[in-house]
Order: sequence, then C-alpha cells, then structure tokens
Amino acid sequence: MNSMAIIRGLARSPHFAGIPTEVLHGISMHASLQKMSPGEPIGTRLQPSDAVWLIADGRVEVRRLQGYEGRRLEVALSILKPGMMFGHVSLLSEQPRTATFVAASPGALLRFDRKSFSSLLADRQQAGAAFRRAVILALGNQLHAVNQLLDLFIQDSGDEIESRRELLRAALDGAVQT
Amino acid sequence: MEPLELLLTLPMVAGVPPADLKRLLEVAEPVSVAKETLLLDVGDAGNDVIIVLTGGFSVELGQGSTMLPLAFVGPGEVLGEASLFRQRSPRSARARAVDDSLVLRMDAGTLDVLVREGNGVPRALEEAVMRTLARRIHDSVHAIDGVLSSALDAAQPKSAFQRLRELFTR
Repeated sequence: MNSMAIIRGLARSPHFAGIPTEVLHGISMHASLQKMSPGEPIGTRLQPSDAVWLIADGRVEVRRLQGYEGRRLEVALSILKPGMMFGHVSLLSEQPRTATFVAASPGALLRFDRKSFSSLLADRQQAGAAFRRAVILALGNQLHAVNQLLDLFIQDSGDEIESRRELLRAALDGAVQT
Repeated sequence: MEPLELLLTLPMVAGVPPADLKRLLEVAEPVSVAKETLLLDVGDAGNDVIIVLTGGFSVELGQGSTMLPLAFVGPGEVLGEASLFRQRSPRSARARAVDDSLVLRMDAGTLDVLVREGNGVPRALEEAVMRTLARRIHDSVHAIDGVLSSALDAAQPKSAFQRLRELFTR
C-alpha cells in the first residue's frame, strides 16, 4: 500500500518526529511515492522547481557547478540521507535550483508537487501546521549550516581563503541586492 | 504612527483580522532599539522571534575587518526565525540596528498562546519565516558556490576542495 509506505517515510524523518500517525495520514494524502534508481536525475540545476521531495529510503547526491583547473564541472559535494528534504528552498524562494539532484542508490522518495505543497502550506488543520513546522525546521537547520560554513570562511587563517574573503564579501553583497 | 497602524501596513499580515493584530499587541509589546544596538548575537539562546515595524537591521557574521553583511531586514520582515523552531538552538548570526528601530519581540510561549486562541498571526508569521529563510539560504548558497568556484581555480585547489567537501558532507 503506497499510503502506508508514505506514512512510514514521513515518520522516519526527524522533521516529523512526534507527529501522531493520524496527522501524518493527512499529510500523506498530498504526497506520491516515487521510486528511484542509481544515477537517475531527480532535479536539474537552473531549472525551475516543480516539487519538494522527502527521502523515504536511499540516498541522493547533490551536485554543484564548480571551477576546477580552468574547467567548469558539476561536482558531487554532499549526500542527502533518508528523512532529509530537498527542493523546498527553490520552490519557496521562487528561484531556479542551485544544484542538481541525482539518485545515489535504489530507494524511494515522497514527492509533493507544487500544488500539493501549496495546499499543505495553506492548510488550517493539524496536517498543515505539522507540515509548515517541518519545513521551517528543515530550513532553520539548513540556514544554520550555511552560516557555520560562512563563519569558517571568515575565521580561516589560511592564505588561500584569506585571499578570497573580498570575493566572498562581494558575492554576498551581490546576492543580497538580487 | 501607532503600532497597530504600522502592523496594518505590513504585507506579511495582510488578511489577518485587525482584532488578531490588536491581540498580538497585547501579548507582544513594541520595543524601541537604538541605532547600532546589537539585538541578536552569535551564540545567544534563540527562543524568540522579532517582527520589524520601523527602521532596519543588518544581519552579519564575523566582526571588524572580517564582518560580512548577509542581509538587510526592514519593516515587515522577521528576525530570529531560524532559531524559533529549533528549540533554543544558539543564534548563528548577529543582527545590528542600522537605524533607530521599533520591533515586536515574542517568545515561543507567546506564539503558542496565539495558536491556541486561533489567532491568524502565527500562520502568517510561519509563511513569512519560510520565505525569508528560503531566500537567505538561496542567496548564501549562491554566494558560496561563487567563492568556491574561484577558490578551486586558485594555485592550490586541492586543499580547499577537500576541506570544503568535508564541510559539505559531514
């Protein structure tokens, strides 16, 4: 039964910890189960986001465009694990994706398309409240991690990063203005 | 302008009944913040959220010559949101008033009271918080990608690459 699989997938996520099964059931009505195979692209960088995913089982690789020895390459910089959410930043900020997501193992995703995601965010029942809290928790954790990374840039005493600090400042200034 | 009049001008709470906004002002008193005051600091326990009514704040990391301005937060925007639902996790950035400002500050307990009362403010606040967080993450990640691309093209790319890979994957 897909419905039970979706509820189990939600229950595995720390973002939905402590949420009663009947509330998870309300959320599950808005999701579909999407199987994935290794190497399968899930979302592509620079494309508009059309969905939010939660990993029920398996792992997803995050690839970002980097310069390396004069070439531009998509480099795998992180692996997302079961329970983690992706696609939500792009959808909420209404910006194209900054990364490409590729299945790193066989597994299953819970997919909330744009309409379902919006419905849950607007929902006045317990399912909506739990979902909004889960999304905010995911975003809060993510911003905390991003700030820690930026802080490490700032504190780094190595010449290599030191020489890039002005670039970082300029990049952030540019980002804030957009 | 009176605080209620200021609230009524904010798109964030458009659609929230005026009675709910009046109730918000009963439980969350407006606070004046002088220019240059550090309202939030890195490492502080984060258990409250702040709505900016007038003035503005610079969200920053680092200090002095290494200070990085991450964002400007003005009227109708929210501060402290990253910590609100993370159960008193410490602040990861500081917020400094860049002008004399007026804010509404409330803790999680106050928000819970409003939720129980069926007040429309918490839901409006959640939506604003989601969009603010998403925008800040997007902007910061975009900036980090730009810097890493530059760093990886530098004379000794591998040390930076390996180090940042560790950071991204831990």
